[in-house]
Amino acid sequence: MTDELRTLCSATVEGTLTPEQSRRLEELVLADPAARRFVVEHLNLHASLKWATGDSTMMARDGEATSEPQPKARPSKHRLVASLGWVVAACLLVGIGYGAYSGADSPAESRGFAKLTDASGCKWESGTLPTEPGARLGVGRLRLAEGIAKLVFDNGAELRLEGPADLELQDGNRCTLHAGRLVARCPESARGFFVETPSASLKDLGTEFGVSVTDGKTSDVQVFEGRVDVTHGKTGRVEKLLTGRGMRFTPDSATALDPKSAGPRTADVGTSLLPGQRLVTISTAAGRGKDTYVAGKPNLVHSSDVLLLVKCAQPHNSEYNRKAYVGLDLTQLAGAKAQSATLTFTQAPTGMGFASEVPDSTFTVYGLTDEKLNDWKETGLLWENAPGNASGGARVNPTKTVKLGQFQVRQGVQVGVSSVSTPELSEFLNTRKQPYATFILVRDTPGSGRNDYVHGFASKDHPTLPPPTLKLVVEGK
Amino acid sequence: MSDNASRVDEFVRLLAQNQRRLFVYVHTLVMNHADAEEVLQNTNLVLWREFGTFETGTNFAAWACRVAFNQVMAWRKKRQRDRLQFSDDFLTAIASETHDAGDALEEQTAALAGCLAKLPTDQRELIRLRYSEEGTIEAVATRVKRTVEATYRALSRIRHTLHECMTRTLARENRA
Repeated sequence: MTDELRTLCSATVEGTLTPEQSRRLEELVLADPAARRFVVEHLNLHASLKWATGDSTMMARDGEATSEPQPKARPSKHRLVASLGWVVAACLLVGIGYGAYSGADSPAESRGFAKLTDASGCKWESGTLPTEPGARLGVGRLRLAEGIAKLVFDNGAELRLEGPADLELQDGNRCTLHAGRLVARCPESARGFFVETPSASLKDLGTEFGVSVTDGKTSDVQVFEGRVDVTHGKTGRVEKLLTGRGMRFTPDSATALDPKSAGPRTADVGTSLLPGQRLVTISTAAGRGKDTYVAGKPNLVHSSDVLLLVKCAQPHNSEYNRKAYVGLDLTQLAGAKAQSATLTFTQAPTGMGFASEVPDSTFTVYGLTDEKLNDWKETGLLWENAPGNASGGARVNPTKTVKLGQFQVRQGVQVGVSSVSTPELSEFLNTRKQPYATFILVRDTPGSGRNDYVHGFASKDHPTLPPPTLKLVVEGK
Repeated sequence: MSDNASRVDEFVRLLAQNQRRLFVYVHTLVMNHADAEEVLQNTNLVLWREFGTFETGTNFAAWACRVAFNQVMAWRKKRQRDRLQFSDDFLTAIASETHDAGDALEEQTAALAGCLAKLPTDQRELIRLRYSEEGTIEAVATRVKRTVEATYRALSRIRHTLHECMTRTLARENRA
């Protein structure tokens, strides 16, 4: 067989293979691993000889070739020079117009135009692109809930996306930051890289800069190094920002920005306090605070000692309904008036039922208006004797309660903070005669009835998560 | 920018270190010099274009060979089917064997210089003529004043001598 293979190999490398011979060679190579190896070695020799002719140390003409086998053939001088010359040319081409190449023939590696290089510690919300580190990225949307994700575009532009953020990738040279923050570092090869925001368009001119989009319309741009040309969306005016400069772009204005003057953003109650105001925090863990839940079937009540379980079941499954009861001691508020109030619940996974079987859900917080009923007992509270309760998973007794507000929980979301912050809540607190308030939390949205998910919120007995908490800005003592 | 300059430096260094291996790999798959040079140039261009996706510290040679393999396939696609000697299956088998035998092939290639040195001068000269620029078998035959058939047979014999020498050298080293 070896003789036949030798003949075939010689014909292959000299280009004299007949169609019959190439069929025979394929047959041998595909059927026999030893033949395959033999052919590969022969082709490798052929290729190495071709390479070696450019290497004077290997092809010494005067017979003075080194007799020691060389551990690794070094790249020959002339080939190295050729590579260098070629790279310089490539850099120039890429520098002039990367875009011309981005649509070229695409082997498997080059599908998409960017890569997610690091996503350690990242949590994602539903986007349209893969979020696995190392994934190739093409046109689509990334929604980062938390963490810092690093993206590298094929032209060399590097983005660090800081959650929470919403980024849309348009092409190999352009992306849109809809919300959140990113830091972009663009080498020369990525000169002319664009970051769009709702109020401005940033053109990178070889630099490093940060941009942050808030309220879906305000863009703060900070240039760390180099230069960025920012085109204001409405006026079309171009601001040339150099190292150290920062500007804020709103839909209507462009103003200088001093990043050091920016305070922390507080999405909740913590707007700056006026003189005479103070912030009060009351949780179910304080004073005479209490929290528990009731269930349609009494023996379901103690399935969790640390979570308040909430579920709205289908009518025929009414025994699986659950409602949370929260009592807060308002003694701290005596003589003071609530300017604003936020009641916050912290969700935790219950592991009970299938989240897929519950759509996006609305939760409603009710206040118990009949103050005689504030005296409910945390232990032993039953569906039947729970104050203000009514039959049905979402219903309460309208004569004894008042609706204070609602929040939404997206399908499948089992952690996170949900709040109600309404004038009705402040009004309710300000009209209490007793220094006490009872709240009822219900889920308005029923599940499918097929072992659907039970939502859970941390109670005051939860080892790590905060219990239901009321934060108020009050005036007075 | 200095970061970009160092990235270019890194690319040039890695490409230079691996250019021989890439050339040999591509040549093994396309089997002739002119096509190998063309595919290698395209490969180099894609490597540069995609270099942003290459993570420093990972195996550049393996990454580059994957890119090269795709370039070989792209090059075959551009060629007329009837001008291709071998099937995709055959080529894929050769490529995967080249990959699997990678280290052994590298060692064989490293033994090549020693084996060339052991050749009689006239045989070494024949190889040099055949593998230098424009080294068609006809041109070589004319230079050494032999028939094309005789030259063909001589070159085949020399290659097999070299192959056996390289294999022997490796076997000896492995015993040592």
